Amino acid sequence: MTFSRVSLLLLAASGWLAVLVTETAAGAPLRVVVTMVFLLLCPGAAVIGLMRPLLGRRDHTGDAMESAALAFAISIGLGMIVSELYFLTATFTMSRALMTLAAFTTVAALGALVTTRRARRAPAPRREVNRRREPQDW
Amino acid sequence: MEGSNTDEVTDGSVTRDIRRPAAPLSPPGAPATGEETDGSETIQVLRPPASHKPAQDRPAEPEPEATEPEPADSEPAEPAEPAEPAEPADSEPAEATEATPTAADSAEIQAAEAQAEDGGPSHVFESEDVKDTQVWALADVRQLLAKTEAPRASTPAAAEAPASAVDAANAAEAVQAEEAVEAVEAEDDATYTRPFPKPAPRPRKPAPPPPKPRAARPARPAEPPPAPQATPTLSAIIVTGEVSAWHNLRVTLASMRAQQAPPQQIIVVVDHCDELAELARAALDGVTVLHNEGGHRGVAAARNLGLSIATGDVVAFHDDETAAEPDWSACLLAAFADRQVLAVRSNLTLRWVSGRPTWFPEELTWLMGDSCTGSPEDGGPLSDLYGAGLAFRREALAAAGGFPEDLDHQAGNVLAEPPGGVKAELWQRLRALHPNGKVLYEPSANVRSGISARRATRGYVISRCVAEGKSLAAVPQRDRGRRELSSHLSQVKASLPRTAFHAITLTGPNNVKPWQALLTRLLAMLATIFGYLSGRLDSTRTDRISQASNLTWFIARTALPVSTILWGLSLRAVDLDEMTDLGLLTVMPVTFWVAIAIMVIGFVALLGDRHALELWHAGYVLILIAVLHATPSLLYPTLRYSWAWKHVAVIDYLIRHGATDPETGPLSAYHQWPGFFSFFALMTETAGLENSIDIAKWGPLAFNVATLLPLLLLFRTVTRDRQLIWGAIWVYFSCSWVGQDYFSPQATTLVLYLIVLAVVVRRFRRGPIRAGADPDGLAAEPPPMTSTFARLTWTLLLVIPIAAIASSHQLTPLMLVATLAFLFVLRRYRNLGILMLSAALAGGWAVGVAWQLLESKLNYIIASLGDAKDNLDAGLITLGSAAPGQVIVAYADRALSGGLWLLAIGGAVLRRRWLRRPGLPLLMIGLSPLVFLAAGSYGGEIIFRVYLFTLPLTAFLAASLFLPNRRAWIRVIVLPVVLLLMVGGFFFGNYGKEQSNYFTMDEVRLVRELHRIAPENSLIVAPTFYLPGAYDDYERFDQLWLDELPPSRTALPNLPTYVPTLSEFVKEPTPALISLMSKLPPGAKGYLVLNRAQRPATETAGILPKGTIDRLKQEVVASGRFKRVLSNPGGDVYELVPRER
Repeated sequence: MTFSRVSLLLLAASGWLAVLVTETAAGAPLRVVVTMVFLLLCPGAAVIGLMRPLLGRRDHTGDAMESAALAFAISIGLGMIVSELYFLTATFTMSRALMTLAAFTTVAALGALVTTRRARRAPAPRREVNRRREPQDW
Repeated sequence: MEGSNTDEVTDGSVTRDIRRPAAPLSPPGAPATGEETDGSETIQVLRPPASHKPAQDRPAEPEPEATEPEPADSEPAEPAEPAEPAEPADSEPAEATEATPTAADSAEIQAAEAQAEDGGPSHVFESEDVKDTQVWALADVRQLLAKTEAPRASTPAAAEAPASAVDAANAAEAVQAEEAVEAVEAEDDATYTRPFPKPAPRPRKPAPPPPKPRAARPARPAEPPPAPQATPTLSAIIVTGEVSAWHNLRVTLASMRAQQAPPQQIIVVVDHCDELAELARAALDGVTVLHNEGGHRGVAAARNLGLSIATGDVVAFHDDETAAEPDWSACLLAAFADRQVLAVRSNLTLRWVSGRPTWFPEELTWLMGDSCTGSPEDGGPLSDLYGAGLAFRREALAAAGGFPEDLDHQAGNVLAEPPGGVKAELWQRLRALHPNGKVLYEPSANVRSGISARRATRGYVISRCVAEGKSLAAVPQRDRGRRELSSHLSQVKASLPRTAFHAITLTGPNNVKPWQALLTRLLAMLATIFGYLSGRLDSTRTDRISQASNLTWFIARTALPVSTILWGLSLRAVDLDEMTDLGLLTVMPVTFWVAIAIMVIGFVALLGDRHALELWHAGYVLILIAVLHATPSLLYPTLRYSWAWKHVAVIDYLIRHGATDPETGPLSAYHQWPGFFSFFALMTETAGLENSIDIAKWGPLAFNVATLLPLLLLFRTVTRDRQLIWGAIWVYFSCSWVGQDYFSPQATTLVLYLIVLAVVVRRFRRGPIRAGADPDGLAAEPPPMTSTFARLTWTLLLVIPIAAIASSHQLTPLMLVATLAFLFVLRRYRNLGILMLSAALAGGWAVGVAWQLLESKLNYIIASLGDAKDNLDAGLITLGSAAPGQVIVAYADRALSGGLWLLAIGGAVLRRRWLRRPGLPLLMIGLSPLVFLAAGSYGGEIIFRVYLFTLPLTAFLAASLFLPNRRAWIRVIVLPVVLLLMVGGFFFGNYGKEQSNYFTMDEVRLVRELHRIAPENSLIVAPTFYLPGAYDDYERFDQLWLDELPPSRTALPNLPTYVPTLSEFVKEPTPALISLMSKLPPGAKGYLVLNRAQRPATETAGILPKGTIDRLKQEVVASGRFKRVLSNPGGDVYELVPRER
């Protein structure tokens, strides 16, 4: 997954959108879809966006599928960890847990904005070259 | 040119490797001879310069000895440098006068004459754009001829200045360096700066060394030493492919010959056009004509063919629409004087032959051969090779293997510049070979390119965009392909806001209609992205794979929709009340089974069609999952399976209390590992649902679909065979009968487990994989080795899902640790970090959070450790008094499991060589769960869990027994039968106990009503917990299930006397029940629930003898101690009436 700036900003806003729709009627289709998509994909996608420049080359077959699966796994994982921390400490309310996830997503997505910009600024091909062996003038 | 030679060259040209001369760069030509033409051509034909090297150095040189001008040998005696530019100029007036009569309007007539002379077909001039091109191109030629003529006329000495100055400078250098050419080259030449492994000399084409040149060689023994090296020599390669382009071709040729420094060699490559090839051979003189026939179509292949016989130091590529200005070659060659320069892009001027279309936006000129990233103003290094007008140092290009033909996609049957993927890959190869090399833009080398009316259509633009996308998608390094794609589209993308503004306000440049241009931009972007995506999806190179038969194609494409519709229709005819003790099998109508059969046949046909997009495979698998797992969700009125109801109840508890239950109770394990429950509690609340039943209902479907992705990743890491990958996935889903995919922690953690493993296998490889024999072509491209830092980052990322697994389930984290430990055995996956991390997380959670529960179960766990036989037995149903249907079901389960294991063992033997090398990680993943057979009984469940966790391996091996297979009958006859048996077995295994797993709404209402009327702390008793919502509001009541009574008093020594054993209960149900229910806290009541599902749950399964439920009901009513408080078609609820004092 390569994230453009716009999609990262959307990702950063997604959590708050989910918080917003929880104010609408219970069980409304829009609410169900938005919150489920957020819980199942967005936090993980933001984390992957944040870590992407550190994860090395992505040129093996199936990278996009891997990112999608990981976004899913990390979202569920984060949702589980956050919610069970609240439950185990007997402090759970829905808005607290959801806002925590939304805040986390926002921070990660905005962080991703910075890291991807940095990664772009650094000339991409040079990172792949082994510096000890390759001359510098290319 | 001698016909025989060129014919030999064209023979088998496609498969031939690019030939490299054995000698270093050939010394430049001594002055070209300005010999007169044969006179048959109106356009002057340039004689190729004489060979200045011994003929044996260039065995492939197609230059015939017979026509070689003798004077060439004596020329070097004269001053070499001034002669070179001057000589061709001498001959130009002849051309100018001959080829172009003074009047400009006579161009067409002249062309027609030329055509008539050539004897070519006259229809070639029917196309209007040809005439147009020809008009401007000829005008250009005339112009440039005038240019060259003028200085020569003034002062001959001055005329030589531009080119010869450079030549002289280089010559001076070259003369000193001549003795030590080898040494100098080894240091200066871009080709030699780095000691790269020189590719082994490619096998030369055996044909070309004809006896004639060899015989001729001794005839010229007194050959003078080669002339000192001046500028590099130039070979121009012109690719053409249509008879209608004949005149354009001659214009291009004329512009080549009119060069101040004419190319040493002009090669015309005709791409797949016999007529034009013959015409060119017959009519063109002094030009090598090659015919690319029979092999790859397209410019890349044609250029490579030309490259294979090129002799110049520099090869420049043209097509039949380009024409060069007279000083082009001189400027170009001057740029190549720097030995670091590998390639030079000329300055390209585009010209719309039929007028510029008003819908064509500026940002898309790269589609017509312009550079896509812009050109540096004053010339300078480039970072890509995109665009027309390229010239390469021949050695470098040949060493890089020429243009990558497999990335070439032709758009709209027009021979244009190869698309971006070719250029990106070539750039990469050049860079890998010559890290010091440079690619320059030379603004003074001017090339004009016409855009014919054929290319100036929307259709061409779109198809060219698709071709660009497809070509970029095929670039071996995905990353680079994607970068190139975005750089191609960046200009268009950036211009969108501005042009949208133009479109709305109807402003902008005059020659462009803003709306149309905006639309073109959007369409071009979409088409490029579409091409890229479709190229990516079509991930297998299918060049050498034969097409599937029409029948196969038809079955594969139609079976999916047909079976889906049939499946949907069949669901309307189901009457669940008819269900017998064989389960769901007995109520499904014939159309349902027909749908499954059609689906299996269609899938097998699809496996035979190796050109099919993998989206089709995915579609089949998704429909299979839907048929297997969504059928009950669609049929049943409410949530299936009492365990799922229990999980819903726990989630409900969490929502009501906002905290986990710290008490030790029957459900406390769920509160100690609450990840799954807390997450879905959060989801239920955010979605605003009343309870999680609606989510739980679709659990099996969702979890299985979620399993698809990691399975695909895992299988793709170990094999590249698509048939095998999808066959294995099909087998996995049709053999996953153990029913652990309902709404449960284990289903969730299984998905996470597989994702973690897929990532570990793909991203944690640290050692090499020895290549073994791979006769079946199974091995996949191994995942790249990663650095320690990258693995550390991945570990950090995986902490989240691993922690989620550790906090959600008891068994899965242990499985994960075991699997990682097994992978640790392999040197390539020896990662202590992630193993320790998983162990720490799993152990940390168990000890830190769930210690209380663990402590109470410790004795039991330790007792069952190492008792493999008992653990195995604990999982098997006692068949004593089970209904006959259930016996069949149990045997069907065993047959399916045993059969799968047998097939897997067969597959393992058959593919043992694959298993030893590329398949090792999957083998380890599949074998590791087996250790748990010895480790614990897990409530009698362990054998099923182990079956489930080994399923990725066993399904893969079982599929590998049949796929891939050379014998078609195995695929056509045996495989469908096997797959059908598997699906049938699945329905026995997964849906064989549906009589007790499905609930009616009456039962739901019965239990809800009971929970409403029952006072706090009441005791709810039922034969089993197969009642919907058994644990709803469970903290308010006590639940007691009769099947959990101990079998005998010896088994549980401390059993209170008022609690009966199971056998005591069966002997005298009512007194045992009364005794059991008599101990009630004050204010509480005792209830006995006998709902519809209890009879099949106890009697059909063989837990209680047949008739026990009926007897219980009669005795309860007769005893007078029970009062029926609730009753509906779903069952009855009896309340224990206190004994009268």
